[in-house]
Amino acid sequence: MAKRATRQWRINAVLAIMLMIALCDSASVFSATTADFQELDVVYIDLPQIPGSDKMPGVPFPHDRHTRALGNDKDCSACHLQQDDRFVFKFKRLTDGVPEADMAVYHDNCVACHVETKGAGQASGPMDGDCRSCHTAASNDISAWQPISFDKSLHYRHASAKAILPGKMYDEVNCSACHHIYDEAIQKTIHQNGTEQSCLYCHKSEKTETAPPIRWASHAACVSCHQSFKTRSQKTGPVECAGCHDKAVQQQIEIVENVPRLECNQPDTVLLASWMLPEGGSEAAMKKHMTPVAFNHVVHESKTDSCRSCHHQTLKKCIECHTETGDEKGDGVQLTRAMHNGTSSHSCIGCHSQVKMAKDCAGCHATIPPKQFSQITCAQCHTVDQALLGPFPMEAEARTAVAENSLNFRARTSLTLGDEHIPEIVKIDSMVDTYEAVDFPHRQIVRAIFSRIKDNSMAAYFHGDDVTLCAGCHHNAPATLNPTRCAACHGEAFTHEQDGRPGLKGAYHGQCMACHQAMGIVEPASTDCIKCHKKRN
Amino acid sequence: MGITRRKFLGWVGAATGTTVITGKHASAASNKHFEGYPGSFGVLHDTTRCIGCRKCEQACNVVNELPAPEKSFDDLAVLEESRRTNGDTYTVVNGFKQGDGTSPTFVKTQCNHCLEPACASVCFVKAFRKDKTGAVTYDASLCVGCRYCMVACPFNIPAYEYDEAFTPRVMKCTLCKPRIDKGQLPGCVESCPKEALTFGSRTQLIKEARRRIERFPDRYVDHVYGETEMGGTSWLYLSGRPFGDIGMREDLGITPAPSLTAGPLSAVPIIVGLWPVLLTGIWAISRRKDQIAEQERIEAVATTTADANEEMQVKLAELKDKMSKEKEAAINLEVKKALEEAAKQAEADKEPAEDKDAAETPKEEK
Repeated sequence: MAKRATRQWRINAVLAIMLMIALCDSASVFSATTADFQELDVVYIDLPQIPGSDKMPGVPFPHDRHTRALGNDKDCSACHLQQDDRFVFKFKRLTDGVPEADMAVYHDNCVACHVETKGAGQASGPMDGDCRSCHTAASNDISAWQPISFDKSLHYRHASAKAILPGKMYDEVNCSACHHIYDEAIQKTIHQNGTEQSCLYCHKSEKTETAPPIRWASHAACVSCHQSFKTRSQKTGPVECAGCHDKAVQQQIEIVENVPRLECNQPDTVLLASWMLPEGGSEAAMKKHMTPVAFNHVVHESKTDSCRSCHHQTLKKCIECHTETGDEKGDGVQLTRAMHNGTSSHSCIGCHSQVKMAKDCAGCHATIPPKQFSQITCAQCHTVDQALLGPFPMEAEARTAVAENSLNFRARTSLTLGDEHIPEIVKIDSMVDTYEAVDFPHRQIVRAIFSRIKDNSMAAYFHGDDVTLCAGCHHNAPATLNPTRCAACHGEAFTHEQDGRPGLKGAYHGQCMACHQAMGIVEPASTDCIKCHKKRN
Repeated sequence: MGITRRKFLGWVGAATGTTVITGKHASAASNKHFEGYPGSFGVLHDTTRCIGCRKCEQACNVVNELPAPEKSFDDLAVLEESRRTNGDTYTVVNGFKQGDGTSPTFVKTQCNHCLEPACASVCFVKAFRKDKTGAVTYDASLCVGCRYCMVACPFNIPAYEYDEAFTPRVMKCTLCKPRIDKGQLPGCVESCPKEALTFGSRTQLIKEARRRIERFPDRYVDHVYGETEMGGTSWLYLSGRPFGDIGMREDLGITPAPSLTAGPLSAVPIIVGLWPVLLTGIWAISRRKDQIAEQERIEAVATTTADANEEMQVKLAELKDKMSKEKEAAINLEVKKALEEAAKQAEADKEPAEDKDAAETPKEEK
């Protein structure tokens, strides 16, 4: 066929090519590849609007890029001024002034440095007149910035580091190097023994009357100190944004297992009885309240990341803000709710619920719906025998003694049920049709479940009487050593009971497969039918 | 009339169009919301329970006597690719991977048996019907093969037997209507080992779905898909992930498909009924007007011609008169001339004689 190079054909060809270019995803073809470090070092500089003039968009300032460009010979003082031996992490100023003045600080100094760097023959940044190179709209890149948690391990490494000298000469410990309180009288921060607590108790996410925001405080304290070590060429923490806030780098932070207990004059055991504070309680008050809880403070310290898991706003006693009837200090949250809220990570029940979602526990607990408050057995925690209480008022030592006494009752660590109570193989043959009966390795599974939880003290406490463990599968009935057959409650599917109860086939498969899925067990695969029951011919 | 027909029709068309588009939808069920026939059935599909074993596909194949597939139902590798219903498959299971490497989510797809089906609405031969049991049934004997249903279905479910030359059918899930009429379960529901499919009355299933969401709020997205989508479907879904991530359309809205077209369609009877009459009337009037005009024109012409004739006659007579007079005058003149000539001649003749005489006679005094 002869090539028809008529005018119409040429036009068609050009249009077709244009269409192809437009249709293919030109954004992905021509876009730049992602940077090596993701955008977690962006400091968004956005001054308030100067009245009477238009406002340019803020400047997403890539901090790490600049620290790297400055190299090893320059430190924070290249851009940040110091006050009281601490860097003020504002750009070349100690406080914010009027927007016009601040704007001039930025424009003059940034461009001057860029000009200087360019003059030295290095890659540089935008110059005078390249306004939109800096004032770009906020990037759509998802920031890879991760918050860093100063947990027990990091704290221990700092507290025990010999290189960190205490703030006070006569102190033996490093606490005073970082911990301080604000003395209103002298308008300065000072260290006072016994007042050490989490930074976040005073330094919130926003500035308060008495404290700068945590972002400012942590950088001023941590980065300044790290920088001072770096200039002395000593091994120290990170000075770059990515050093703390990059996920990959965070995973490489050395973790100290078995951190020794942080001694802060805290109790080992606490008798939780709000009605006994502050005067020691009375007979009348005892009659109106639940029996107290014996709380093992030591054990809980070792199970949490930091004190803030429970002492989320202050180290004071819970009852001081979360009063029985609710108080403004506690945000209106009453004591019962503070202790029992199933969804909060700070309450007893809430934290326990989160622990139950661990893979070793989730096999049973993922399929157990959260109980209504009225269905929970209070006696599992409120165990103190009222006979032990009194005479009133009870002093602190007496209360602690009662708590310790009650705790000793509860330790249990071994599966006491013998094999005679746990059938070895259970033949499930009530629904034989396409497949043969199942020879269910019952004892093997029970022992396997137990081996996963035997070191878990919470499991030992809550189902230490091992009959409770049986109820993980033999459910919706009182825990017993002789549970009924599944078929007693699970019959034909989709019949009259509108309570969501599956039929027998759905019950068997649902129970087994849901447990495997929640525990992350991939062998046997749910779709591997013949692994559990042979096919019938 | 000073307006042309084209302009007039243009105005009328514009007026009707504006009314239809901007006016209220005169839909048949304007304030009512059809919640399904009382006691109609449905199926609740809990995608958190599905393990992708394909037993439902196998059961559907057996129960509906569909042809054997290329790859057996034990082949789970097919779940890697995205499949849809086709001419010999009423239902498929698709797998959707999770970003974090946990096990994929499996979703069974089939006709959703909408409460107000688009396919039934669009079928002009009533081959698709919504049954009281909730099933949307298909009658192959009525179908003409136009495949409007395939265009209309928002879920892209009806499939066509393209390979059948002489009796192609539209193929889709029947909710096992013959079986549920006998009190049995649909094939897929019966065969599912995990009870990921629950059969029951639609209202009860919605309650059960809500109960599951309430008991396990962390497990499910707080939405029962199909409760309101496209006005409600009989097949309901629960999911642990956003429905858009498991291949289900979230842009369908809650308006039933028939309501979307009810407005313009309701204008059709008015247009079909009134326009012919209106236009015929206009045409008739217009023609009459023309006829009358023609008549008048003829009359006017005739009158004018008659008048003109009369005038002409008069003129002609005058002219004749004038001509005859002129002729007379001319004749008279000629006669006069001739007489004068003759007289002259006579005179001339007489003179020589007189000359002789004169010579001879004295001039007589006269």
